[in-house]
Amino acid sequence: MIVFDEIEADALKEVFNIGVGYAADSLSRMVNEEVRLSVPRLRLVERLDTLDALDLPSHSNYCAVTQRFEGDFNAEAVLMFPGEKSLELVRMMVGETVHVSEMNELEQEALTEVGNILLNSCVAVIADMLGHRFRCSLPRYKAGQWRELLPEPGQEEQCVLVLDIDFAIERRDIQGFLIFFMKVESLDEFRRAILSYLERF
Amino acid sequence: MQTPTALVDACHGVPSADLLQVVLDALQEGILLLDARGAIVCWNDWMARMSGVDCAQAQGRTLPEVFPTMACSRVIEAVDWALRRGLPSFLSASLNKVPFPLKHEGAPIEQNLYVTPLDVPGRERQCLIRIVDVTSVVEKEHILRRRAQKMKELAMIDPLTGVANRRRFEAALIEETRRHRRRGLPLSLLMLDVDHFKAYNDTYGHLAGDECLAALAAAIATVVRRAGDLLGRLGGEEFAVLLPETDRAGACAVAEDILTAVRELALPHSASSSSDRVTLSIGVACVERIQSSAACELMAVADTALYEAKNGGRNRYVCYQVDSECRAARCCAESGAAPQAA
Repeated sequence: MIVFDEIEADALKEVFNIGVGYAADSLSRMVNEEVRLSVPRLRLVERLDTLDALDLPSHSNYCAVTQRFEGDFNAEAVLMFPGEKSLELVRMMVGETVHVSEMNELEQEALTEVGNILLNSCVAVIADMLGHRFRCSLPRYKAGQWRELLPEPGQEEQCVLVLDIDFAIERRDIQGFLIFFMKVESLDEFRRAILSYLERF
Repeated sequence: MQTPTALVDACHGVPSADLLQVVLDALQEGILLLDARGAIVCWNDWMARMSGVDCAQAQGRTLPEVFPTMACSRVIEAVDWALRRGLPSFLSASLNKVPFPLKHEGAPIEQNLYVTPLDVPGRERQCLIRIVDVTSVVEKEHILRRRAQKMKELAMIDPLTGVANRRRFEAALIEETRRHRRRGLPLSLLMLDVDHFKAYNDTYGHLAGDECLAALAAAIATVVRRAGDLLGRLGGEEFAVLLPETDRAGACAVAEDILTAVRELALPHSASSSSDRVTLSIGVACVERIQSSAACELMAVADTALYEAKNGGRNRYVCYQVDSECRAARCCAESGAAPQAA
């Protein structure tokens, strides 16, 4: 079942691009270096188990930052970058050049903060679209195979929004994913809420 | 400390404000509460001690009013997200150097901050900030980092002479060769061998032999000082010098300077048939621009040149130039006595 057609998906993608733009500004100010964030692609699947169809690259190791939402709508947002790329990203943000191959505690925390900034900007977009009130948890860091980083599949109708994320800093481009797992009352209602929001643009 | 009355209130199931304040003041981390416009409602004892500003002084003022350096900071941005959008933020010590001007025993405190919105029924949204002292974690990581870096360096250094070891030298040679191919700037390599070293050890002992090598390395190092040039010990009495972006003239000049420096060291060598002192033989290999894709063994060419220097009487250098097709041709030599033009 197609929830959004191509034009709607494009418009939705642009809304997120604006959102992550604010995150990029924030990150740029923090490191005094140009950080560019973009959402080159947006995909929507109905259920968690259809994620396999998306053919996410199966790197052995991913680093992730997650935040949970509760309230008028429940959701979990997971930002993931491949392991070695996460290390690159964090090292460029922190400005360290030591080549030790594991992420230490401080670097994990730096990645958590970067993830938090990005996630907050995207959550703000969704909150604006759905017009709901919710509480959000503090960001958490996790690492492992990408399947281990996703929440358990639930019974209710779900809506899984997959954003490709492009993180550019210092002539390096790092690709990751931002996945929103949302429990919606009905996909139709979700679609209508988003379409009416998009009309305002 | 609070009176027992406060605790008695708690026993009736409802903790009093006094009791909660006691709890907050007992925490070994900072707790601040900001109202809807970002003004400080209260903060705890830890915060007062580390900032030098007590709660009464801070109350009713915004953070930039109390700490002017915090205006337009990441913290204020996070408070904004919490108050306006209800979203929490985490500020890490590695990306935010001392966000609140806090000190413990004179030293700045490294901090992790947790900024969360508080939705209190019947009130406008407020903002809670929790500050955790992570100074010791940051220090520990720096120590571990430095240690890891040191160990890495040790693995790359020859313990006797302190110059690069074979592994490091070969890695550098590979990288410079690659760079040479890409950028087309000349590259030169010197192979150095101590003359009659076995005889030196036999005459003066191995300990003296070691000292001799260390002294030679130090003398050569005074010549090989340009950033990017690398002196390495390949093993035994064999050294090598990598000279990126250096042409034939430059490389031969370095070889000459090294021979001079070693001669001036004047280490006596009674068992040497070439001189009364310790001398070196040097093979020089230079390449202008490698065009062919064949792997060009600069080291093999330098080795050939070194062999010729040995056979030609030692205490001298011989130079080979490699053309674009990786063909080597001898171009010049210098004898121990007086330099000759090619």
